[in-house]
Amino acid sequence: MKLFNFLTKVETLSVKSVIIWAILLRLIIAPFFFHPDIKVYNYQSSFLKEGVVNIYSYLSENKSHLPLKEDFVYFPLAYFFIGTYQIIATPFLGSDFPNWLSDASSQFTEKIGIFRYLLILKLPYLILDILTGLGLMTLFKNAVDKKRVLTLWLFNPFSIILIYVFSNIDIIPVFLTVVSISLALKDKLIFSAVLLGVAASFKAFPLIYLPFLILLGKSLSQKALICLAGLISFLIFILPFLNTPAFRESALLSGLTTRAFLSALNIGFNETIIIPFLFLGLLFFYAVDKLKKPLDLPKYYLAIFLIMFSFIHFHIQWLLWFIPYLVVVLVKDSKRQFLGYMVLALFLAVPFLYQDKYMNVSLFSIFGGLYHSLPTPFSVIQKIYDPYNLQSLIHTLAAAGSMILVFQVLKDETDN
Amino acid sequence: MKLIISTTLIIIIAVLILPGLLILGLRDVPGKIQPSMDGVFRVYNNQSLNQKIKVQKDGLSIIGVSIKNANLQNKNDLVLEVSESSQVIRKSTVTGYIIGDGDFVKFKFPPITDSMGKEMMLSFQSPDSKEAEAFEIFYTRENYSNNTTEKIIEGKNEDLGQRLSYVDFYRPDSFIQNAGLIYINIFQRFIQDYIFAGLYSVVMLIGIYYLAKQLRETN
Repeated sequence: MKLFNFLTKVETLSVKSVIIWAILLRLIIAPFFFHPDIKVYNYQSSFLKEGVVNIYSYLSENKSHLPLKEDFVYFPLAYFFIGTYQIIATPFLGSDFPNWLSDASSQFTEKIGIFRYLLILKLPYLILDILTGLGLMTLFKNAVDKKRVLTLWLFNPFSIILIYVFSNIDIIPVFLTVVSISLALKDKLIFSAVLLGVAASFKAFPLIYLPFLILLGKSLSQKALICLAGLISFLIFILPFLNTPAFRESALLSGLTTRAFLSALNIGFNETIIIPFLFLGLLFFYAVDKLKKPLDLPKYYLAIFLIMFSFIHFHIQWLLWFIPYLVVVLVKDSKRQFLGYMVLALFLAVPFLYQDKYMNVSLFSIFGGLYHSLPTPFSVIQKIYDPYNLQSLIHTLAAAGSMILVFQVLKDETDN
Repeated sequence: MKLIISTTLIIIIAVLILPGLLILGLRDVPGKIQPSMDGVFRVYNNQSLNQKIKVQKDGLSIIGVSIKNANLQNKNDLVLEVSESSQVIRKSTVTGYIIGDGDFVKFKFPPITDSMGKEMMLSFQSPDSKEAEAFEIFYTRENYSNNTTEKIIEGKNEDLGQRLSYVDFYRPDSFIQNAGLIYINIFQRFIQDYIFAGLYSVVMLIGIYYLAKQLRETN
């Protein structure tokens, strides 16, 4: 009875209380999990306060005498955003922070202050995470649905793990795309496109949404304006760096931009049918055919990345790209919840099985270096079965579930 | 709502319980993280690598080093002898068939139960290897130990000015005690940054108090 009363009370919590509860959970997890990406890109972005503008050429020219030698693999706005935040946060990070950033030894997780650094470095993501939830609320009119979408976004464990454990920058463009959708629903299509372009200046993926946003334009000229607005707002930030070879190699031609082309059917004469783009093309032309009524953008945005990730080898943090839209779809249609969570869990399981300690055991290295000595799930499974086969099997099942989910979601479009 | 409660439980378990549970699966606990690998020392024929160490804990059971075996060509045995006061007390042999180029190789032996504080000599030998196919064991220039016992020596106690890049592993008496030490260690490190720890605690307490008050006031 007491538990039932407690659950009822939780259900009647105000939006403010839900947000505070969500913040507390994030404050519990943020200081205690470490992934090396956060240190690397913060180290690279720290050169902004020394006046370095072109981080790509700077790293390329100075690699030999820098302690950390990785390339900066994000687009320019990521560098300026993180670098600027570091400048603002300097008084709170302490005087030893630069030493910790440039520490290439194996002992940096033992340093006093690492909990402070991790929490402060993840604070912008916490703010954007909450704002993303508030942005998703604007996609609904009904107060019950608004609270539901906020709760589902703030309390699904998947996005909490992706943002605060793997601590990549993806929440920044994800937030901007959610705001972009919100503007699109208010018929502010040009501003929506501009935001997509700005989001793409952090990571390229939002550009995939642009063709679908263009379809919302009422006339050919409006469609052209939307296209131009999105591309110009992207190119403004990219053009100054296009002549830098290091930018082209490390950022422009990395990750999604090249992996999408690996899954292809050879049709001879050096031509291939690129499978992810085949399905994206199907989705796009289906959307064109649906021009009788406004597109339900969240459904298409969800479908895009369910399709893409079904056919490419993905980084775990990329999964964050579609979770907001999955949440929106699950609020609109709660009977898809089980399928939605199953698909997400399957996608999450694939990188968990990679032969990379920082996909699993080494995430606990804050607790002590001995976690590096734990066997990975990959090496445990290897004793009894081929882990690559298992990864492939799980990925295939995730792809199958995705196809069903996409079909169901788009079928609802037809039925409505 | 079930989602809020279940996610809260997941987070609490991930932070408070999972680290301890994972450690229970660790048979031998490393004494330190492997130092940087700055160069190699070649072991073959009558060229052995001798490293003096001071053992940090009881139960020394494994010495792990990184080894280059170029083109995987050396299939001979690589032997580690652990000596105390010139007496060989443990011996471990690893065949070159399983030493990949750049692999981290563990030399396992029965735990030395009262090893703490003792000075021991590690001696890596491969008498059947030719010079051209020598095993190359990494050394470090990192000053991971303040005591000057930790050094590679050659011949008649000649100090080569380098230290082996190795990891020592220990078999604990109690795995549960080990898990407990994890939490004590992290708590001690957390409160060492006392300003942050204090502010963090205050913010968390205020938040929890606010939520508890809201739950009490909700009909």
